[in-house]
This record gives sequence, structure tokens and C-alpha cells, in this order.
Amino acid sequence: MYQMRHRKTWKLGRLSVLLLMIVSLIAGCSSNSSNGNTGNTGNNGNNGNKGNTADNDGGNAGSSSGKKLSFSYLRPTWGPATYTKNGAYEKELFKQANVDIDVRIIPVVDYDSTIKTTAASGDMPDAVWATGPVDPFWKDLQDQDAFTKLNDLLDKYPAVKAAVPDGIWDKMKDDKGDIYFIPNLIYPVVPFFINYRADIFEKLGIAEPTSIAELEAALQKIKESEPGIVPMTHGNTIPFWAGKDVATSFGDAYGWAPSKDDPNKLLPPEMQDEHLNYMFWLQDLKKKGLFDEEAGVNPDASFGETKFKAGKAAVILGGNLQSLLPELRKADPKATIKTMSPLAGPDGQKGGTRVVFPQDRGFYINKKAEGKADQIFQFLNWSLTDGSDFRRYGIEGKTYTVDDQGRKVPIPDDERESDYKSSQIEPLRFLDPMSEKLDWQAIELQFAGGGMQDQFAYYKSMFEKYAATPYNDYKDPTVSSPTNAKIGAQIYEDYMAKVSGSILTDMKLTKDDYIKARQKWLDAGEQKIIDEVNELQKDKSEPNYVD
Amino acid sequence: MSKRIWQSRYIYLLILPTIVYFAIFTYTPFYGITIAFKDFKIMSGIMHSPWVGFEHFRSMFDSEKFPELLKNTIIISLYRLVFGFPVPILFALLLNEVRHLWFKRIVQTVTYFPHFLSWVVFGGIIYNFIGPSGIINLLLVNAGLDKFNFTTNADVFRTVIVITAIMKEFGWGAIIYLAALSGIDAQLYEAAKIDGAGKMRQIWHVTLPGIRPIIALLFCLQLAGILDAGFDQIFIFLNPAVYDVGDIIDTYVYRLGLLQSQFELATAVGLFKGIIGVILIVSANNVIRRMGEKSLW
Repeated sequence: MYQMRHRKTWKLGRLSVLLLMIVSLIAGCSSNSSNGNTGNTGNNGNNGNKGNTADNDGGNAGSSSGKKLSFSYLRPTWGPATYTKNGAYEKELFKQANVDIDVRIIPVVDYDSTIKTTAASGDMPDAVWATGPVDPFWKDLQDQDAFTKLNDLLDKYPAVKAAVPDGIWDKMKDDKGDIYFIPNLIYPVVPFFINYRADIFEKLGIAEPTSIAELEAALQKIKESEPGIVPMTHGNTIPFWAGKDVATSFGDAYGWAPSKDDPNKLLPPEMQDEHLNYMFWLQDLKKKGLFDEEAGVNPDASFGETKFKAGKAAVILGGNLQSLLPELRKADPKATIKTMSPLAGPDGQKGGTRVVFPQDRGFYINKKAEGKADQIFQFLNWSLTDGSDFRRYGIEGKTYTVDDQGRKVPIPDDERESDYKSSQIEPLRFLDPMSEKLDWQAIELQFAGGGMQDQFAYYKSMFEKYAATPYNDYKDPTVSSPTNAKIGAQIYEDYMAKVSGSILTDMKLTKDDYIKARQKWLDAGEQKIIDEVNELQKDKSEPNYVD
Repeated sequence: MSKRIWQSRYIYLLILPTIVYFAIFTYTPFYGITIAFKDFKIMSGIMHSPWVGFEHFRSMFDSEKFPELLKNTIIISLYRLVFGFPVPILFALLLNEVRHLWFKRIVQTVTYFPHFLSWVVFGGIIYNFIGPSGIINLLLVNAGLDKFNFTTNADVFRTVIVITAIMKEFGWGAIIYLAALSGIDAQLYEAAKIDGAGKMRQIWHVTLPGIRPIIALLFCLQLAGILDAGFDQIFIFLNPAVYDVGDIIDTYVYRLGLLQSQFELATAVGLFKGIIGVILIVSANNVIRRMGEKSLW
């Protein structure tokens, strides 16, 4: 009797454990997808509105039926990746635009690799940022019909079409004239100024350098006189790119340029003497202790800016005056920063700025979300028309104030409530028109908002000095060599990655070593790639992205 | 047979979720290995992508980098095995002799702790010591000596890798040996003492034979992973200046396969590593079995 009861209890126990395991397995495997109706997250506007004063009844993007548009959105962020859902700004946007966007962000440094893996899994969100048709991976995916065709929608929503210059739309077209990609625009002139500590230069009696030779002499004097100060460091990117505008003083446009022997043949930067001269000049500075010893070594790309802001560096290649100065003044209230005019090169070459293609990524609408494309365009259209003020300025008292002249002055980020900081707003940005990309009035207001109104005129004059001598990459970014798509990455890894990547870390590496590696690279297939690019790109004249 | 299964039906039911779990999450994904033999088209899916035979394997073996990658991977793994494998054993033996419990626990906590840090964090800490402006170079400069390049110096890269790997994992690695040590019959030590054995003799004749099956087992498992030289760690410390001595198969595959989206090549290399791993583990298992030790199967 006892044995029978014991056996029964034992069986029941085992069955219970089994049942529990099966339930756990089912629960674990069930989808937790938040697509579709994401369980109303309380964006109905009745959320205690933290002092929102924007027009609550402003036009909204909602469809003609008034049904709230819901879609998922994945994009990179350049600022801190601290976005949290359901913030006050987000709620206000959703309310005004009558949308519910399930936003996911990825820091920009990890974005390209992460999103490509996500895309390969076939599980892309409704709207997804990508490099676009200039990248063979995305072009291939576009050709595989992964994304929604936008031609009709662009005709239907002229505000969206007008936001992007016709020339850029043309670049986005495939060979059938179809457009799938909405580009994120940037102003092509983005000077990476050579900023310096004017107070240190003054203390040491150094005049502002006007040439590469004078810069070297100044750095040498700083090294000898100020042992605790790094003579020159670089901004938050890879060292060579941070110095892209110094490179122009060597005649290096940091991109494809016509061959000296044949102006009708374009060559990549690795083939140009000017590019090599610039890179090995930086190596030489580092050997002499004039360029930051951590350049190319420290895995944290922002180390140079950190040093400069802490008052531990005298010159910085790149870096933004608006962020450098306030931070530096916290460490040294008497510190002053100035910007060197473009320098004359060793051969008298006039320096300027390396102009960029006016598009940096953008977004596609997933083919699977084709049914939502019209509504997404309605939302974009709203953000460029009725919602334009909200998109540009945000919420009065939270993201901007109105001065006595009626101008909307942005509130500096560190003075905003956490829900209104730029890290909460950037993930919700979509398309800003080209007309806003170089808006001096807006930039002046940013300086005013940051308490640096007195620096604005100087900043503008330096911008114009750099912009006066543009250096362009002659290669059309939408031209893609088939061989490059197939083996370009591998042969670069095999032959060039080491020499290109170690100029600043291997002080024994010489130009000869570089040229030998380059020859192997050419033989392995790069020559074919160069020939294909020249064959495919009929127009080899210097591009003009500014006008 | 069927009667036996029916009699043990509850036991089989109990193990069923585990079988289902491994079938779904471990064996079904094997299907993805076919990417190594295809020109993978995302929208067509794995099934409908065209076959390309051994093209990706050819491109892997034809790569000028491949012999160097293979050499670096094997050398770094062997260094880890030769220098890293004995350290947890020695540490466990030492810890086993400690009689003050509080001291033993403090040492255990301190040595286990790095295991719980990711390589990103631990690498950052190490960089603060060995970087150009790190603590060690600061001490050298203050002592009137020249700075030493630890981070981009091909001569010391592998040494740095092996030492930091040992530092991070030796404490955690000792746990399994400590568990094995606790299973040794105390009477054996008493018998050895009566026979006049000192501490060293006890360790040699009682302790080490007692944990030998575990040592053999772990050695066998580690040998199977000889083509896994530790991606996380090397990725953190790697710099193009040390590619010649430090670039391993995994870092190369990461750069090419993931950063450049060459998924087919990455899968081909993964499959190659897997096959080598299977060969090694089967060989090591056979050797261990023939030596009379407890084998994996």
C-alpha cells in the first residue's frame, strides 16, 4: 500500500517536472516580437504632459482614416546611446504626428556590421538605416527586391522629394530609374579644423602657423617647453581622417584623383604620392614625439578630445569648437582656442578642406512593410510641413527658448531635462532637408544658446577660409566595380590592411614597404578594379557637390 | 526494446525537452553550413541560393594570409596550452594546502573575479597598465628609463596575450580541480603519511594521480579547441602593427566575414575549424583511452 502510494507520488512528481519543462520550453521559444500593435505604450497624450507647450492640435501625419500609424525603425546614433522609450519628447512627437514608432538604435561605430548581419537573417524592421546603393551589399539587396520602390510615393509627397536635391535623387536611381533609398543629407563642406590652444601659443611666443613647416616648429617648441602637454593630438575618428584637411596641404584629396600621367585615368588614394607623403609625415611627427603617442594605439577613439578638453594637448586635428571650448574651460577657465587657417604645404600647395559626398547613409522601407510605406511617407511629409517646427526646434521651454527678437534659441544639451536631451531626440530623426544643412542663422543661435555668441563670426570666417579651397574625391560613389564587390575586401585585407593600418604604430614601416605591399595588391586584382572603375565612370571631371 | 522504453517512459519523457532543445537550437542550424558552398542571396534564402561548390574554400586556402593565420592561431593556442594549462592545476594544489579558511576564500574571490569581467573591460584595465601612457611606462619614465612599447610590439604580443589570458582565467579554471581534489579519499593521505611521505610526496603520489582523470579530460577538450585561440581577447589587443604574429583565423573572419559581409567565406572557415576540431578531439580521446584514462566516450 505504502509502496503503491510512494510510486504514485513519484510518478506525479516526474510528470509535474516534465510539464514544467515543456511549459518553460514553449514560453522560451514563443515570440516576444513587439511588431504590430505594440501594446499601446501610453502615447495617448494623457501622460502628465511635462510642460509641453507645442500646438496639441497641430496637423498630424495620421492617415486620412485617422488610424495611428505603427512601424518599427532601426537607425544608428552618433551621440550617446542612452535613448529610453516612452520619454516625454517621444510621447509628444507620437501624439502630434499620430504615430507609434518602435525605435531601436545601434551606436554608429557598430552599425554597419550589425545591420548587415540583421539583414542577412531576413528579419529587418519596417524602416531601416543603411549605407544605401553606394555600398555593393545594399545595392545587391536592393536588386534582390528587398525594399519598397519609392518613385510613386515621391511624386505623391512633393515635400519629401523637394527635401533632397535632384542631383542626389539621380544618384540614388538604379539602372531602371527606380529609387528605393531615402538619403540622409549632409552639407558637403565639413571642415576638420586645426584647433589650437591660443593661450599656450601666446605664452610661448609662438605665432599662428601658416605652413606645415611652421606647424612643425611650433610643435617642437611646445614639446621642449611644456613637457606635460601633448603637442598635437586628433579628434574622435581614425587619425588620418581626423587630419583630412591637413592632408590637403600635401595636395592629398584623400580620395580618387586623376593620374599625373593620364588625366583621364582615376587612381585610388593608395596610388598617389601626395597621400603617402601626408601619412608618412604624420608618422615622422610621431617618431619625433610631436604627434600623440596614443594615435592609432588607444582603442578609445575619443582619447584625443578627452586630452584636449582636459588641457593636456596644445593642437587637435578635427574636433568641434562648440564642444571643445566649454569642456576645456571647465578644466582651465582661462583657456582660449583658435583655429589655424589652412596651411601651405611643403611644396607651397594651398590647403583647404576635403569635401565629402553630401549623403551619409539614409534609410530603406522594408518590402515586407510595403503596406505601411504610404503612411510612413505621410509622416515624413508631416515632419517637413506642418511638423517642420517641431522637427527642427522641438518644444518651447524644453529644447529651445524664444529670445527678445523672436528667434528660437536652442537650449544647450547639458541644461535640458533628461527626456529632452539630444540623445533622446536623435533616434527619432528621419529626414532633414538640404536647405537646413548649412543654415548660418541656426548655427549662430546654437552658439548663442551655448553662451559662445562672440565666437560665431570667427567660426564662420574660418569655415569660409577652409571652404574656399575644396578638394574632391573624383570617384562617383555610386559607381561600383564588380571585381571590387567580389574580391575587393579580401585583397585589401590580405595585402594592404597591415601596411595601411600600421603606419602610425610600426615606426619601422617605410614607404618602400608600403609600395611593395601595394604592388602585390595591384597584382592580386586591384589593378582590375581600377580599370573597371575607369571604364564604368564616364565623367571623370571634378565633382561639385557644393553648388 | 519497445517494452523497455515503455517501462521507462517517464524517464524518456523527462529527457525529451532536452532532446528537442538540442535538435532545434544545435542540430537544425547545421543546415546553415550549406552557405559555405553557396553564393548566398539573402532574399532567396539558403535553400534557393545557387551552389558554387568549393569556391569559398579555394579562396580561403588561396589567400596569402591563410598560412600566416593558421600558424598564428596554432602557435597562440599551443602557448596557451603549454603555459596556461598547468597554472590552474598548480594554483589548485597550492590552494588545497592552505589551512586558513578566511585566507583561502579571499584568495579565491580575488582570483575568480577577473573571469566575470568581459575582455573589453579587462583589456581596458590592462591597457591602462601597459599602454604608452600607462602605469608601467609611467614608472619606467619616473625611474629614468625609456618607455617600453607593449601594445604594438610584435616581439612581445604573444607573451602579453598568454600572460593576460592566464591572469584572467587561472582562478576560475582551478575550481574544477579543487572539486576533484575534495573527492580524494583522506585515508590515502593518512596512509602516505604513515609510510613517511612528506608534502611533496603526498602531492606527487596521491593528489596528482587523484585528479589525473580530470586533467586528461580537460586537456582533451582544450586540444579540440586548438583553432580557437581566443577571439575576444585577441580582438581587443590586436593592432595592424602586430598582424604578423597576432592575426588569427577568427579575427580575420570577423573583419572579412562580418564587417565586409562575406558570410559564405566566414561559414567556410567556421566549417574548416569545426572539422579540424572534430579530428583533434577524436584523436585525443583515443590516445587518452589507450593510456587507460577515463575518456569522453
